[in-house]
Amino acid sequence: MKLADSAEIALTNIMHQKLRSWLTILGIVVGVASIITLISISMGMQENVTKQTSVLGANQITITAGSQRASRMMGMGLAGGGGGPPPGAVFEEDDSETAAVTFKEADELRSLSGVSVIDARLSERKDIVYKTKNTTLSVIGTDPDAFPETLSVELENGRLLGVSDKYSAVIGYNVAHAVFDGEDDDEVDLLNNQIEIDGVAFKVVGILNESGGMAGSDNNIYVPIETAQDLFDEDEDVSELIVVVKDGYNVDTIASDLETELKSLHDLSDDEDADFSVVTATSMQSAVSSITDTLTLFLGGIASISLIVGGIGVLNTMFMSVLEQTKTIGVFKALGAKDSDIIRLFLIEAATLGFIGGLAGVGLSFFGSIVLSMFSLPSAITVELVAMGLFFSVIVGIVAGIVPARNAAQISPIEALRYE
Amino acid sequence: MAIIELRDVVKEYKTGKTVFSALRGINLRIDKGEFVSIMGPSGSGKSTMLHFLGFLDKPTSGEVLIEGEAMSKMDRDGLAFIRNKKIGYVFQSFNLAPTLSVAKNVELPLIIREMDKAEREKKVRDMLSLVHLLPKWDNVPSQLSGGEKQRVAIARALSTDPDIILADEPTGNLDSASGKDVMDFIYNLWKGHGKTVVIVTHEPVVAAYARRTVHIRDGQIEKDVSQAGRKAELHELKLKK
Ligand SMILES: Nc1ncnc2c1ncn2[C@@H]1O[C@H](COP(=O)(O)OP(=O)(O)OP(=O)(O)O)[C@@H](O)[C@H]1O
Ligand SMILES: [Mg+2]
Repeated sequence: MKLADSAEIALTNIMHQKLRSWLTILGIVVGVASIITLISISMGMQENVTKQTSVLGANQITITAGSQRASRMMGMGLAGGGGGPPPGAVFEEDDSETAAVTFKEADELRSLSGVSVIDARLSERKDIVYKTKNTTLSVIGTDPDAFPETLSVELENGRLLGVSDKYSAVIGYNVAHAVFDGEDDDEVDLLNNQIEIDGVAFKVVGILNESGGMAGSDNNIYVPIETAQDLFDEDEDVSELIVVVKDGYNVDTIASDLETELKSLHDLSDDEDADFSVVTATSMQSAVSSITDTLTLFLGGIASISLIVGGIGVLNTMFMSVLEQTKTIGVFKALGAKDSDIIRLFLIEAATLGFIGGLAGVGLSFFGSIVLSMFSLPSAITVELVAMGLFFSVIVGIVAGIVPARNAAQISPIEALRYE
Repeated sequence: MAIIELRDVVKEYKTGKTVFSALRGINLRIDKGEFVSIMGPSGSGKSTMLHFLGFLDKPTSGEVLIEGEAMSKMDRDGLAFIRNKKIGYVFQSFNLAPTLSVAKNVELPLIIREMDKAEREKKVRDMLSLVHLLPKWDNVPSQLSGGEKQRVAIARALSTDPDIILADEPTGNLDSASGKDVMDFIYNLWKGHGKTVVIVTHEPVVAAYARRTVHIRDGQIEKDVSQAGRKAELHELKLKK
């Protein structure tokens, strides 16, 4: 039998499939749809997180006390997505016995070559009151000189902090436009107005543009570092150091220089674990991708199980389908069809059923991603994912078809013809 | 030389504990160009025997030979090749492929032997017009009457222009007029093209076309009668009228 003829006959047979066979194909449909959807979710997250971490600034290094900070922050960031808690909150508290990084150490680090500026920051979550509304936000004390260099956004309105400022504040985009929205007709009112931090009045001197991202400035309030030291009653330990690397220097090299230097200041030898963490945009991103990769693997694993379950359904369908067509097989054999003709006929049938199931599954996953986006869960369906889904469903069909097809080919024509 | 030969063919069917012998040692030689009819009561084993002549089943014991070649020495593809190339088989119960159209059913043995598509279509057209079924070209078997199905089965068996025509009650579902059409066609194939024909029938009118009648009873050959000469001549004269 020629391939084209086999294909034509197989397709005719498929058209005559019982409703039951089509229903069992649902196994593949659901399997493929869940594989594509779950993987697309984790890919969507990865995309999202990459976008989030890109606000970190490629030439900046963040140093915090305690060693597991970065990954802890990642965990929060993933769960919270774009609207998650600002980083200050996460960096703020730490297990007590870990050594701190101090302002004095910051001064030592400033002399390292390749370091442009270091913003030694203090941050704490504080009660903020504006007119009748109050909330809790991260208040970050920053060095007015270093602040402009560490910022990844422009001012939307007003000015940045000056050296002579004391009770002045620069607020993030969301603070002006979301948190205290509705209190004013427009942000010009918030600008130059008073907010209270822990009961202390501050004048809003500037509003930042939108930064986006979980590590961005959108939900923060920035005040001069000295004011923060008074306010938080802390003048030794910093919350974090933002190091800006000079142009022409390799960020990762400087990061390891900083680590070596800070280790020696902490009396740690090179091979001891650091009691602080040094995070760069690239190290952050690779930490994030290692998490999302695991997630992808995990979700993909779950989805594969459902595809396998779907495949077992198709196996069942194929067995039934071959059984139901035993008489037809007898006819073909009686007329001189070879074993290979019969096998090919059923493989084409099985692969086509798998492909149809796969197509429907892809369709369903597109629908699923629309539904997910309504719950603001990101998902990214790629051409590769679609191709992979179709490929797998065809393979499942073929695997499910091979055994019954071989069985069918081996019975004698008369036995097959007698089947009712 | 015998074109097909059965040697001590035994067929047993096991159902549960009981063993039923449908054929009990059949010896039969059919020479090239013979026209044989097989008669016998219902259940006597006629169809079972025809299956062996058609290489459709393996006997419990004994040997089946085609042109001197033993069935037991062939593999499944070898048997398939014989069925497709040498034999045209009309089943008692038609055995049409239920999902395929009338035309596709007739075309099927030609598809299997990978005949050229244009040639195939012409052949199908010829065969269907022969059995007056051109209008049913696109119908599926379930939409046909018993007689129509039988005619499709005949068209299919003859579409490959086989050397050996085996027909199990080919006129069983036909009225006498269309039954005669079919028999005349087979008779002419035999007469004019040197085909070998074996027909199972209950009807003496049909059996009368043959030059030899094998009578079966209880799985054994009871009588093997050649009716050459006068009787056949008479019959031929009758046909010509
Ligand atoms: N698969 C089977 N299992 C058990 N017995 C069978 C089987 N096939 C046929 N038989 C028996 O073998 C015997 C012969 O059957 P066969 O079909 O050859 O009869 P037949 O002579 O063609 O009868 P009819 O004229 O009714 O078609 C019957 O008694 C039948 O019941
Ligand atoms: Mg019979």
